[in-house]
Amino acid sequence: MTQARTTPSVEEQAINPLREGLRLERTAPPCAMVIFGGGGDLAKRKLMPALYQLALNRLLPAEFTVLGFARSPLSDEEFRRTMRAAVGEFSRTQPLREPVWDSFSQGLFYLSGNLDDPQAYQRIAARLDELDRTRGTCGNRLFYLATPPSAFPVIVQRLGEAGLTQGPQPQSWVRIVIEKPFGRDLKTAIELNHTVRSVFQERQVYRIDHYLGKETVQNLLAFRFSNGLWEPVWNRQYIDHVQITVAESVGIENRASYYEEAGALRDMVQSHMFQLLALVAMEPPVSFEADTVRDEKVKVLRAIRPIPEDRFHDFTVRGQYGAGWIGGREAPAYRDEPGVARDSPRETYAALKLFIDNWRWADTPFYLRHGKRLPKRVTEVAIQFKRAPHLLFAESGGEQLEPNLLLVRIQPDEGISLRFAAKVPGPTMHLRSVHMDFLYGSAFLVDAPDAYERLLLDCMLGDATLFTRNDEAEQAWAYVTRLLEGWERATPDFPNYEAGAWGPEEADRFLERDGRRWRVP
Amino acid sequence: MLQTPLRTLSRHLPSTDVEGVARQLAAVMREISTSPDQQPQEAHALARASVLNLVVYTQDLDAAQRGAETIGALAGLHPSRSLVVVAEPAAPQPDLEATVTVRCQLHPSGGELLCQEEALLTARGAVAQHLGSVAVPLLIPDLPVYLWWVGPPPPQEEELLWVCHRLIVDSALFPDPLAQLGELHRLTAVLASRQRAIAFSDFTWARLTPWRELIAQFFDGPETLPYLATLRQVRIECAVDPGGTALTAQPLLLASWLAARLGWRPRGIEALADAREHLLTFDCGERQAEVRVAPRMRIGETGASGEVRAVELVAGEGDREGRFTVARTPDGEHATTRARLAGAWEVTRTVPMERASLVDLLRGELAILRHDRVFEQSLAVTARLLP
Ligand SMILES: NC(=O)c1ccc[n+]([C@@H]2O[C@H](COP(=O)([O-])OP(=O)(O)OC[C@H]3O[C@@H](n4cnc5c(N)ncnc54)[C@H](OP(=O)(O)O)[C@@H]3O)[C@@H](O)[C@H]2O)c1
Repeated sequence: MTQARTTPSVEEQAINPLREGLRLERTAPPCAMVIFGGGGDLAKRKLMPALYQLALNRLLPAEFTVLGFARSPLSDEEFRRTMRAAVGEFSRTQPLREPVWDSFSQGLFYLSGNLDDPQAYQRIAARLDELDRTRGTCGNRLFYLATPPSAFPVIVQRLGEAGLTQGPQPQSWVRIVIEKPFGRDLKTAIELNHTVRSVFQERQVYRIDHYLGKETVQNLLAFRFSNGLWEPVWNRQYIDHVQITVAESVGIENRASYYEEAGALRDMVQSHMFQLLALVAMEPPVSFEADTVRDEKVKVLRAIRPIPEDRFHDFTVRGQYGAGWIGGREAPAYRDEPGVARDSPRETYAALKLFIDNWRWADTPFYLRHGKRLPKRVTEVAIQFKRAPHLLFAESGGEQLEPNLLLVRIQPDEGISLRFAAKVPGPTMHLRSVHMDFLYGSAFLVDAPDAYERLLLDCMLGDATLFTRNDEAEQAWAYVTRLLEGWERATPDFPNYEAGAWGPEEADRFLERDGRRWRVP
Repeated sequence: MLQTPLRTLSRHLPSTDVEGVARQLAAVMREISTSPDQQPQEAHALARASVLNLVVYTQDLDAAQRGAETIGALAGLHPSRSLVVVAEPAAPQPDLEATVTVRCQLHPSGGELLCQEEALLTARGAVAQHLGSVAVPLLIPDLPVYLWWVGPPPPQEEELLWVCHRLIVDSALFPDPLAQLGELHRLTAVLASRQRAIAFSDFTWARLTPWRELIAQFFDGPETLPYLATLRQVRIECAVDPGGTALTAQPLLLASWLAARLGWRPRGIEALADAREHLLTFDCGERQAEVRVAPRMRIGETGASGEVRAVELVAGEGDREGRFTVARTPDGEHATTRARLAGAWEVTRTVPMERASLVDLLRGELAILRHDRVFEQSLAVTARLLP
């Protein structure tokens, strides 16, 4: 799949003749990456380990340079030491390789300042110019917003005022990566888009949704669009319904202040699950390029049928966990987690029934569910096919046979599994459901890169396919905001599921009403 | 990641035919998948997740053993069927001897049994001349066939060339690399003219991949790219044992790659001083460029003789000079690179560069099927170096 994605962006010009035919076709060009919030949790846990891993895999050029920016007064050396400790702890490859780290860290620099101080941006600009001269970063800049989301607008504005949205040379590029959450409802998302677009062009903007960087999520596209077998049956004629599950066994892990504001719908459904939905339901794009793919995705989001005002109950279930047991351990109720209000109305579980009103999917329900403190961690997409139209073998076990199921497992144990009926060997016609499993790990045993590695590299290469476009973000928020508003009109009766259960009982009845059942992953 | 197989089952067939081998493979597969400790919890279809066929050809029993071990180490990584053929064409009586082995292991996530089927075949006398007829019935249909050919390049009339999709050689084993790389080039041309679209690869070429990547990476930026147009001198240092020559397959292929990519036309090859250093000269438009291949004594160092140790590229002159070097570190696990642009900047760094084991190399080759045009074009340059 990666080969199909090497279309150079408009911003890439002269071609290096030595690159041709190399298996590492995708190594980044020289550039400087400015991390706003360079000393924060995301930088330590995800960004720096991903960059170090890219360096280990020789995917970064020698000129690659990082400029961390945050409030704490640190010297370059102190910043390097902090990052060394972080990479030592969080890197997926251990132990840390000293010679590689030592040389990589020579390219790490730090500036301290306040995000809303215009002077600070002048210092950033001066430092970047100096790095161009001393480290050959060629005027290419990547701004990464890893600060609290409330700071996104001011950073964008200040970058604009400081003239940092254009590179110093005609052929240099400037890109900006915006972390999630992108807004907290439709209104704020539109405002943020507006601010960003008043300063940057859309092609410079990379809204990150790390789910899209996952290898298996991309495999969904490969699976659908490079096999002739599935597309003909991938529609309402053959598919009874689709279930998308993102289950987490963990609770909110010290992120109470964030989660009290966000909740399951904002945290997971608006972003990751709608992305999965779009990939499952989209029409084949005309090519594998950023805009053609995202055009198709946004069409799906646009086609989701709005829920009638008075029927939220028929289309949604929300839940919040009470105390319970998970994996042999006792887990507290959400309302007893530190930092959570004793009467918090925040949902930790959400289930939705969606219809996509287009020719392919009309009347085929898509059931989405996500929850915290569910029995296990699993992300999967289950495509439930219709029953065979006429059962020849009814007396021989045929009637208990489950219809065909195609299961795309995203994590853990990435793979694809197909359930079909087969004859039990012997003189009589006894049938049984069997599974045919394909585990990615067994056919191609290479370590899959972490999502951030893939996405950072894509961004440096100017490939926005796996990033969210402005209209996608707004469409998803439009739907979710209506839901949130509907929910807010009534006080929920929480908690309504025990930690360690597959969500509230109501969620089971929700499907039973349609004559269906949730899968037990 | 390379675990030892969970279960291995072998059968020896002293004198047999192809059908006998096929029957035994099926029988052993059946036996191993139904042995009592493999309780199917759910009715999981025993999916044979094979992705390829591999044929190894050698005339040397030791090499066959090494080949089989290498394949064994891939069990679970590349579910496959492999035939390891030891050819003894000089044997007086035609005969086929076989040992059939199936190695299975449980997929790390449990449940699934991944199996690798292998037949070690000794083909004697006339049988060794008709290996196509031996291989075809034993290959899993519809899956690509990789032929790993141990030794000098295969003759044009070798039957196995007709059944394979990819030919893998190791030019480090060519006794006369300059001549035999040329032979390999002629084989690509002959097969292409007979409409046989076989992809060619070479372990030695694969060993050069990190070198090519690091060299290419120097020129990814707009500031360094122009230096390629003024590249004039390349020095390749190659590890040699006392008395050996540096003109091995590695530096030849590396120099040919640069020339092919940059459109340089070979002029000739010249032995210098004590005939251990060589000068390869090229025409590039108005200019000339040269590649000097120099020996570096391999005393108390890790790594094989014939291996590239350092490469230096010099472009432009005076205040427009650029020097780019890649060198393997003495620990054998890293490379350091340095780019120095006169009057501008200098950047150095260290990156991992382990020597690839045979298992890694084979795994790398088996992961791809498409043609490596760049390799074939580089071979064409090597072929033209010899007057
Ligand atoms: N952490 C994760 O795993 C994760 C996952 C997904 C998305 N995200 C997103 O990533 C972003 C960062 O999250 P985080 O967890 O890394 O936050 P964090 O640990 O609180 O880090 C925030 C960083 O921003 C800096 N900062 C805050 N206010 C500043 C100001 N006024 N001026 C200058 N610097 C300022 C802080 O600098 P000082 O410490 O020096 O004050 C710190 O380096 C958020 O948008 C979050 O939603 C995080």
